[in-house]
Amino acid sequence: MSTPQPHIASRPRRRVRLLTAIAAAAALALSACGDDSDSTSDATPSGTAIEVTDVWARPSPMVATAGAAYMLIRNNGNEDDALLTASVADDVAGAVELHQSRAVEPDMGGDMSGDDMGTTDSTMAPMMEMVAVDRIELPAGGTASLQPGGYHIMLLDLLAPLAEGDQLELTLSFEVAGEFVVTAVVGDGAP
Amino acid sequence: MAVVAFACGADAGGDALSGVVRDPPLDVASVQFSTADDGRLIRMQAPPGELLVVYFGYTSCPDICPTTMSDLSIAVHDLPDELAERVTTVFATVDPDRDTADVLGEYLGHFFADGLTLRTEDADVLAAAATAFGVQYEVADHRPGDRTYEVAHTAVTYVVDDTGTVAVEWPFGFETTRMTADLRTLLEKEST
Repeated sequence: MSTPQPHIASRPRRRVRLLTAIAAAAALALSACGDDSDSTSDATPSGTAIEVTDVWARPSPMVATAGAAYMLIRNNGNEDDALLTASVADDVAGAVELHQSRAVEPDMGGDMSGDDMGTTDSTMAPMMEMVAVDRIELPAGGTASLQPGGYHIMLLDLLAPLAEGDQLELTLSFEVAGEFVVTAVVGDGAP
Repeated sequence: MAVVAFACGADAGGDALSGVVRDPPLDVASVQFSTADDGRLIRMQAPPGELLVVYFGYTSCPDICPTTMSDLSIAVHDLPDELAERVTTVFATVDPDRDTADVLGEYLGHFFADGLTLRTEDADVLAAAATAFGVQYEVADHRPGDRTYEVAHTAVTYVVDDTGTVAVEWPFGFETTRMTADLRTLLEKEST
Protein backbone atom coordinates (compact mmCIF):
# COMPACT_ATOMS: atom_id res chain seq x y z
CA MET A 1 0.00 0.00 0.00
CA SER A 2 3.01 2.27 -0.02
CA THR A 3 2.93 5.13 -2.43
CA PRO A 4 5.86 5.84 -4.70
CA GLN A 5 6.43 9.42 -3.73
CA PRO A 6 8.18 10.51 -0.54
CA HIS A 7 6.00 11.19 2.42
CA ILE A 8 5.54 14.92 2.72
CA ALA A 9 3.23 17.06 4.71
CA SER A 10 1.64 19.05 1.97
CA ARG A 11 -0.01 17.72 -1.12
CA PRO A 12 1.95 17.95 -4.34
CA ARG A 13 0.61 20.46 -6.78
CA ARG A 14 -1.80 18.60 -8.91
CA ARG A 15 -4.36 21.12 -9.98
CA VAL A 16 -4.60 21.14 -13.67
CA ARG A 17 -5.06 23.86 -16.20
CA LEU A 18 -8.63 24.98 -16.06
CA LEU A 19 -8.90 27.80 -18.53
CA THR A 20 -11.75 26.53 -20.63
CA ALA A 21 -13.41 24.49 -17.98
CA ILE A 22 -14.42 26.97 -15.34
CA ALA A 23 -17.50 28.08 -17.21
CA ALA A 24 -18.59 24.49 -17.51
CA ALA A 25 -18.24 23.97 -13.80
CA ALA A 26 -20.27 27.06 -13.10
CA ALA A 27 -23.01 25.93 -15.44
CA LEU A 28 -23.11 22.52 -13.83
CA ALA A 29 -23.40 24.02 -10.39
CA LEU A 30 -26.88 25.18 -11.34
CA SER A 31 -28.17 21.69 -11.77
CA ALA A 32 -29.56 19.78 -8.81
CA CYS A 33 -30.54 16.14 -9.08
CA GLY A 34 -28.59 15.73 -12.29
CA ASP A 35 -31.23 17.28 -14.49
CA ASP A 36 -29.74 19.94 -16.62
CA SER A 37 -31.23 19.12 -19.96
CA ASP A 38 -31.44 22.77 -20.87
CA SER A 39 -27.73 23.37 -20.70
CA THR A 40 -25.03 22.43 -23.12
CA SER A 41 -21.64 21.69 -21.70
CA ASP A 42 -18.99 23.85 -23.22
CA ALA A 43 -16.65 20.93 -22.84
CA THR A 44 -18.31 19.60 -25.96
CA PRO A 45 -16.77 20.89 -29.18
CA SER A 46 -19.32 22.41 -31.47
CA GLY A 47 -20.39 20.12 -34.26
CA THR A 48 -20.09 16.91 -32.30
CA ALA A 49 -22.98 14.89 -31.04
CA ILE A 50 -21.52 14.07 -27.66
CA GLU A 51 -22.54 16.06 -24.60
CA VAL A 52 -20.88 15.46 -21.24
CA THR A 53 -22.32 16.89 -18.04
CA ASP A 54 -22.29 16.32 -14.28
CA VAL A 55 -18.61 15.43 -14.22
CA TRP A 56 -17.37 14.74 -10.71
CA ALA A 57 -15.00 12.62 -8.68
CA ARG A 58 -15.30 11.60 -5.09
CA PRO A 59 -12.73 12.89 -2.60
CA SER A 60 -10.28 10.09 -1.88
CA PRO A 61 -9.02 9.29 1.59
CA MET A 62 -5.35 10.16 2.09
CA VAL A 63 -4.29 6.52 1.97
CA ALA A 64 -6.43 5.50 -0.98
CA THR A 65 -4.53 4.62 -4.13
CA ALA A 66 -7.60 4.54 -6.30
CA GLY A 67 -10.36 6.98 -7.12
CA ALA A 68 -13.35 7.18 -9.40
CA ALA A 69 -14.86 9.80 -11.67
CA TYR A 70 -18.47 9.95 -12.79
CA MET A 71 -20.42 11.79 -15.48
CA LEU A 72 -23.41 11.77 -17.75
CA ILE A 73 -22.69 11.32 -21.45
CA ARG A 74 -25.34 11.94 -24.06
CA ASN A 75 -25.07 11.04 -27.70
CA ASN A 76 -27.32 13.52 -29.44
CA GLY A 77 -26.29 12.40 -32.90
CA ASN A 78 -27.60 9.86 -35.36
CA GLU A 79 -24.56 7.62 -35.20
CA ASP A 80 -23.69 5.08 -32.52
CA ASP A 81 -20.57 5.93 -30.59
CA ALA A 82 -18.67 4.58 -27.61
CA LEU A 83 -16.33 5.82 -24.94
CA LEU A 84 -13.08 3.94 -25.45
CA THR A 85 -10.55 5.43 -23.06
CA ALA A 86 -10.00 8.18 -20.56
CA SER A 87 -6.78 9.70 -19.38
CA VAL A 88 -5.46 12.23 -16.91
CA ALA A 89 -2.20 14.10 -16.55
CA ASP A 90 0.75 12.00 -15.46
CA ASP A 91 0.95 13.77 -12.12
CA VAL A 92 -2.59 12.78 -11.16
CA ALA A 93 -2.73 9.02 -11.51
CA GLY A 94 -0.58 6.23 -12.85
CA ALA A 95 -3.32 4.70 -14.96
CA VAL A 96 -6.94 5.24 -15.91
CA GLU A 97 -9.38 2.50 -16.80
CA LEU A 98 -13.05 2.22 -17.63
CA HIS A 99 -14.70 0.07 -14.99
CA GLN A 100 -18.06 -1.28 -14.06
CA SER A 101 -19.23 -2.26 -10.61
CA ARG A 102 -21.87 -4.92 -10.82
CA ALA A 103 -23.54 -7.61 -8.81
CA VAL A 104 -21.94 -11.02 -9.16
CA GLU A 105 -25.38 -12.59 -9.32
CA PRO A 106 -27.17 -11.29 -12.40
CA ASP A 107 -30.59 -10.94 -10.80
CA MET A 108 -29.25 -8.28 -8.43
CA GLY A 109 -27.91 -6.18 -11.26
CA GLY A 110 -31.02 -4.37 -12.36
CA ASP A 111 -32.20 -2.36 -9.39
CA MET A 112 -30.01 -1.35 -6.52
CA SER A 113 -32.01 1.67 -5.57
CA GLY A 114 -33.49 -0.04 -2.55
CA ASP A 115 -37.05 0.84 -3.42
CA ASP A 116 -38.39 -2.64 -3.02
CA MET A 117 -37.04 -3.46 0.39
CA GLY A 118 -38.99 -5.84 2.48
CA THR A 119 -38.55 -8.77 4.75
CA THR A 120 -36.17 -11.40 3.51
CA ASP A 121 -34.96 -14.67 4.87
CA SER A 122 -32.09 -15.29 2.50
CA THR A 123 -28.89 -15.98 4.34
CA MET A 124 -26.01 -14.91 2.15
CA ALA A 125 -26.06 -11.61 0.33
CA PRO A 126 -24.72 -11.38 -3.21
CA MET A 127 -21.36 -9.82 -3.88
CA MET A 128 -20.46 -6.84 -5.97
CA GLU A 129 -17.42 -6.94 -8.17
CA MET A 130 -15.60 -4.47 -10.32
CA VAL A 131 -14.54 -5.31 -13.84
CA ALA A 132 -12.59 -3.40 -16.46
CA VAL A 133 -14.55 -2.76 -19.64
CA ASP A 134 -13.21 -2.10 -23.14
CA ARG A 135 -15.86 0.41 -24.06
CA ILE A 136 -18.98 2.11 -22.82
CA GLU A 137 -21.62 2.09 -25.53
CA LEU A 138 -23.38 5.29 -26.57
CA PRO A 139 -26.15 4.39 -28.99
CA ALA A 140 -27.46 7.19 -31.18
CA GLY A 141 -29.80 9.30 -29.10
CA GLY A 142 -28.78 7.40 -25.98
CA THR A 143 -27.20 8.23 -22.66
CA ALA A 144 -24.49 6.57 -20.61
CA SER A 145 -24.68 7.33 -16.93
CA LEU A 146 -21.38 6.85 -15.14
CA GLN A 147 -22.40 6.76 -11.51
CA PRO A 148 -21.51 5.11 -8.18
CA GLY A 149 -22.22 1.41 -8.29
CA GLY A 150 -22.13 1.27 -12.08
CA TYR A 151 -19.83 2.44 -14.82
CA HIS A 152 -17.06 4.72 -13.68
CA ILE A 153 -13.67 5.98 -14.70
CA MET A 154 -11.19 4.45 -12.30
CA LEU A 155 -8.05 6.34 -11.45
CA LEU A 156 -5.33 3.92 -10.35
CA ASP A 157 -2.15 4.72 -8.48
CA LEU A 158 -3.25 8.18 -7.45
CA LEU A 159 -0.21 10.34 -6.83
CA ALA A 160 -2.10 12.50 -4.36
CA PRO A 161 -5.52 12.36 -2.77
CA LEU A 162 -8.44 13.93 -4.58
CA ALA A 163 -9.47 16.75 -2.29
CA GLU A 164 -12.86 18.38 -2.07
CA GLY A 165 -13.04 21.31 -4.46
CA ASP A 166 -10.17 20.14 -6.65
CA GLN A 167 -10.75 20.12 -10.36
CA LEU A 168 -9.43 17.38 -12.50
CA GLU A 169 -9.04 17.34 -16.26
CA LEU A 170 -10.09 14.13 -17.98
CA THR A 171 -9.43 13.48 -21.64
CA LEU A 172 -12.14 11.28 -23.07
CA SER A 173 -11.66 9.39 -26.30
CA PHE A 174 -14.74 8.40 -28.27
CA GLU A 175 -14.81 6.00 -31.17
CA VAL A 176 -16.54 8.43 -33.52
CA ALA A 177 -16.47 11.85 -31.88
CA GLY A 178 -12.77 11.69 -31.06
CA GLU A 179 -11.14 13.27 -28.06
CA PHE A 180 -12.20 16.03 -25.82
CA VAL A 181 -11.48 17.26 -22.37
CA VAL A 182 -13.88 17.60 -19.48
CA THR A 183 -13.30 18.81 -15.95
CA ALA A 184 -14.35 16.81 -12.95
CA VAL A 185 -15.09 18.70 -9.77
CA VAL A 186 -14.12 16.76 -6.65
CA GLY A 187 -17.00 16.54 -4.23
CA ASP A 188 -19.65 14.24 -2.84
CA GLY A 189 -21.89 14.33 -5.88
CA ALA A 190 -22.42 15.97 -9.24
CA PRO A 191 -21.63 19.69 -8.96
CA MET B 1 -26.41 17.79 0.37
CA ALA B 2 -29.48 17.25 2.49
CA VAL B 3 -31.30 19.96 0.59
CA VAL B 4 -30.60 18.25 -2.69
CA ALA B 5 -31.75 14.90 -1.32
CA PHE B 6 -35.03 16.35 -0.15
CA ALA B 7 -35.52 18.16 -3.43
CA CYS B 8 -35.19 14.82 -5.17
CA GLY B 9 -38.21 13.44 -3.40
CA ALA B 10 -36.72 11.28 -0.65
CA ASP B 11 -39.20 10.02 1.88
CA ALA B 12 -37.91 9.91 5.42
CA GLY B 13 -41.22 9.67 7.22
CA GLY B 14 -42.76 6.92 9.29
CA ASP B 15 -41.73 4.75 12.22
CA ALA B 16 -41.17 1.51 10.32
CA LEU B 17 -37.65 0.65 9.25
CA SER B 18 -37.15 1.14 5.55
CA GLY B 19 -34.11 -1.11 5.15
CA VAL B 20 -34.11 -4.89 5.05
CA VAL B 21 -35.29 -6.60 8.24
CA ARG B 22 -34.65 -10.32 8.41
CA ASP B 23 -36.97 -12.85 9.90
CA PRO B 24 -35.58 -14.40 11.97
CA PRO B 25 -33.05 -11.68 12.71
CA LEU B 26 -29.32 -12.36 12.47
CA ASP B 27 -27.66 -12.79 15.84
CA VAL B 28 -24.04 -11.69 15.59
CA ALA B 29 -23.33 -11.21 19.29
CA SER B 30 -21.02 -14.19 19.39
CA VAL B 31 -18.87 -12.95 16.52
CA GLN B 32 -15.41 -12.01 17.63
CA PHE B 33 -13.15 -9.83 15.59
CA SER B 34 -9.89 -8.04 16.32
CA THR B 35 -9.43 -4.30 16.15
CA ALA B 36 -6.89 -3.15 13.61
CA ASP B 37 -5.19 -0.82 16.09
CA ASP B 38 -4.26 -3.11 18.93
CA GLY B 39 -5.64 -6.50 18.00
CA ARG B 40 -7.99 -6.64 20.96
CA LEU B 41 -10.98 -8.89 20.40
CA ILE B 42 -14.34 -7.22 20.34
CA ARG B 43 -17.81 -8.67 20.06
CA MET B 44 -20.33 -7.51 17.51
CA GLN B 45 -22.64 -5.96 20.03
CA ALA B 46 -23.19 -2.26 20.56
CA PRO B 47 -22.73 -0.72 24.03
CA PRO B 48 -26.05 -0.27 25.87
CA GLY B 49 -28.30 2.21 24.09
CA GLU B 50 -25.99 2.45 21.09
CA LEU B 51 -25.66 1.07 17.56
CA LEU B 52 -22.85 -0.32 15.48
CA VAL B 53 -22.95 0.29 11.73
CA VAL B 54 -20.88 -2.53 10.26
CA TYR B 55 -19.45 -2.78 6.76
CA PHE B 56 -17.08 -5.34 5.27
CA GLY B 57 -14.95 -3.72 2.59
CA TYR B 58 -11.43 -2.84 1.46
CA THR B 59 -9.69 0.46 1.05
CA SER B 60 -8.40 -0.08 -2.50
CA CYS B 61 -12.00 -0.06 -3.65
CA PRO B 62 -12.56 3.15 -5.63
CA ASP B 63 -16.30 3.07 -6.19
CA ILE B 64 -18.51 0.96 -3.95
CA CYS B 65 -16.73 1.36 -0.61
CA PRO B 66 -16.11 5.11 -0.62
CA THR B 67 -19.63 5.68 -1.92
CA THR B 68 -21.00 3.63 0.96
CA MET B 69 -18.78 5.31 3.54
CA SER B 70 -19.68 8.73 2.20
CA ASP B 71 -23.38 7.90 2.32
CA LEU B 72 -23.07 6.55 5.86
CA SER B 73 -21.22 9.65 6.91
CA ILE B 74 -24.01 11.84 5.56
CA ALA B 75 -26.63 9.65 7.21
CA VAL B 76 -24.99 9.71 10.64
CA HIS B 77 -24.07 13.38 10.52
CA ASP B 78 -27.65 14.25 9.66
CA LEU B 79 -28.68 12.93 13.07
CA PRO B 80 -28.81 15.33 16.00
CA ASP B 81 -25.48 15.23 17.86
CA GLU B 82 -26.92 13.44 20.87
CA LEU B 83 -28.07 10.61 18.64
CA ALA B 84 -25.05 10.58 16.32
CA GLU B 85 -22.70 10.06 19.25
CA ARG B 86 -24.48 6.78 20.01
CA VAL B 87 -23.54 5.39 16.59
CA THR B 88 -20.14 3.83 15.87
CA THR B 89 -19.19 2.94 12.32
CA VAL B 90 -17.18 -0.26 12.02
CA PHE B 91 -15.13 -1.02 8.90
CA ALA B 92 -13.92 -4.62 8.72
CA THR B 93 -11.41 -5.27 5.96
CA VAL B 94 -11.68 -8.33 3.76
CA ASP B 95 -8.25 -7.45 2.31
CA PRO B 96 -5.83 -7.48 5.26
CA ASP B 97 -2.79 -7.80 2.98
CA ARG B 98 -3.17 -4.28 1.63
CA ASP B 99 -5.19 -2.82 4.49
CA THR B 100 -2.73 -2.40 7.32
CA ALA B 101 -3.86 -0.87 10.60
CA ASP B 102 -2.47 2.52 9.58
CA VAL B 103 -4.16 2.43 6.20
CA LEU B 104 -7.47 1.45 7.73
CA GLY B 105 -7.31 4.12 10.41
CA GLU B 106 -6.58 6.90 7.95
CA TYR B 107 -9.17 5.59 5.53
CA LEU B 108 -12.07 5.45 7.94
CA GLY B 109 -10.87 8.68 9.55
CA HIS B 110 -11.58 10.39 6.25
CA PHE B 111 -15.27 9.70 6.84
CA PHE B 112 -15.65 9.34 10.60
CA ALA B 113 -13.69 10.86 13.46
CA ASP B 114 -14.53 8.02 15.82
CA GLY B 115 -14.91 4.94 13.65
CA LEU B 116 -13.60 1.51 14.51
CA THR B 117 -11.51 -0.57 12.11
CA LEU B 118 -11.28 -4.33 12.28
CA ARG B 119 -8.59 -6.49 10.75
CA THR B 120 -7.41 -10.04 11.16
CA GLU B 121 -4.77 -12.07 9.37
CA ASP B 122 -6.52 -15.24 10.45
CA ALA B 123 -8.57 -16.23 7.42
CA ASP B 124 -10.81 -18.45 9.53
CA VAL B 125 -11.70 -15.62 11.90
CA LEU B 126 -12.55 -13.34 8.99
CA ALA B 127 -14.60 -16.03 7.28
CA ALA B 128 -16.53 -16.81 10.45
CA ALA B 129 -17.34 -13.18 11.09
CA ALA B 130 -18.39 -12.55 7.50
CA THR B 131 -20.52 -15.67 7.38
CA ALA B 132 -22.36 -14.64 10.52
CA PHE B 133 -23.48 -11.50 8.69
CA GLY B 134 -24.17 -13.27 5.41
CA VAL B 135 -21.24 -11.44 3.85
CA GLN B 136 -19.38 -13.07 0.98
CA TYR B 137 -16.04 -11.98 -0.38
CA GLU B 138 -13.47 -13.17 -2.88
CA VAL B 139 -9.96 -11.81 -2.98
CA ALA B 140 -8.11 -12.57 -6.20
CA ASP B 141 -4.86 -14.48 -6.01
CA HIS B 142 -1.94 -12.20 -5.38
CA ARG B 143 1.62 -12.22 -4.13
CA PRO B 144 2.94 -10.35 -1.13
CA GLY B 145 3.42 -6.73 -2.06
CA ASP B 146 1.01 -6.75 -4.99
CA ARG B 147 -0.94 -3.52 -5.08
CA THR B 148 -3.50 -4.18 -7.77
CA TYR B 149 -5.84 -7.14 -7.59
CA GLU B 150 -9.56 -7.57 -7.62
CA VAL B 151 -11.79 -8.02 -4.63
CA ALA B 152 -15.47 -8.90 -4.80
CA HIS B 153 -17.57 -8.50 -1.70
CA THR B 154 -21.05 -8.09 -0.36
CA ALA B 155 -21.72 -4.36 -0.26
CA VAL B 156 -24.37 -4.36 2.43
CA THR B 157 -24.29 -2.25 5.58
CA TYR B 158 -25.49 -3.85 8.83
CA VAL B 159 -26.85 -2.01 11.85
CA VAL B 160 -26.20 -3.99 15.04
CA ASP B 161 -28.02 -3.11 18.24
CA ASP B 162 -27.04 -3.51 21.88
CA THR B 163 -28.28 -7.10 21.96
CA GLY B 164 -25.96 -8.12 19.15
CA THR B 165 -28.80 -8.44 16.67
CA VAL B 166 -28.72 -7.06 13.15
CA ALA B 167 -31.67 -4.69 13.43
CA VAL B 168 -31.67 -3.55 9.82
CA GLU B 169 -29.46 -3.77 6.77
CA TRP B 170 -29.04 -1.46 3.84
CA PRO B 171 -28.08 -2.54 0.33
CA PHE B 172 -25.65 -0.50 -1.72
CA GLY B 173 -27.17 2.76 -2.91
CA PHE B 174 -29.75 3.01 -0.15
CA GLU B 175 -30.92 6.58 0.29
CA THR B 176 -29.12 8.43 3.06
CA THR B 177 -32.30 10.05 4.32
CA ARG B 178 -33.81 6.61 4.85
CA MET B 179 -30.66 5.46 6.65
CA THR B 180 -30.92 8.46 8.95
CA ALA B 181 -34.58 7.69 9.60
CA ASP B 182 -33.78 4.04 10.40
CA LEU B 183 -31.00 5.04 12.80
CA ARG B 184 -33.27 7.53 14.51
CA THR B 185 -36.04 4.95 14.86
CA LEU B 186 -33.68 2.37 16.34
CA LEU B 187 -31.95 4.81 18.70
CA GLU B 188 -35.25 6.11 20.00
CA LYS B 189 -36.43 2.56 20.51
CA GLU B 190 -33.29 1.64 22.44
CA SER B 191 -33.53 4.62 24.73
CA THR B 192 -37.08 3.82 25.84
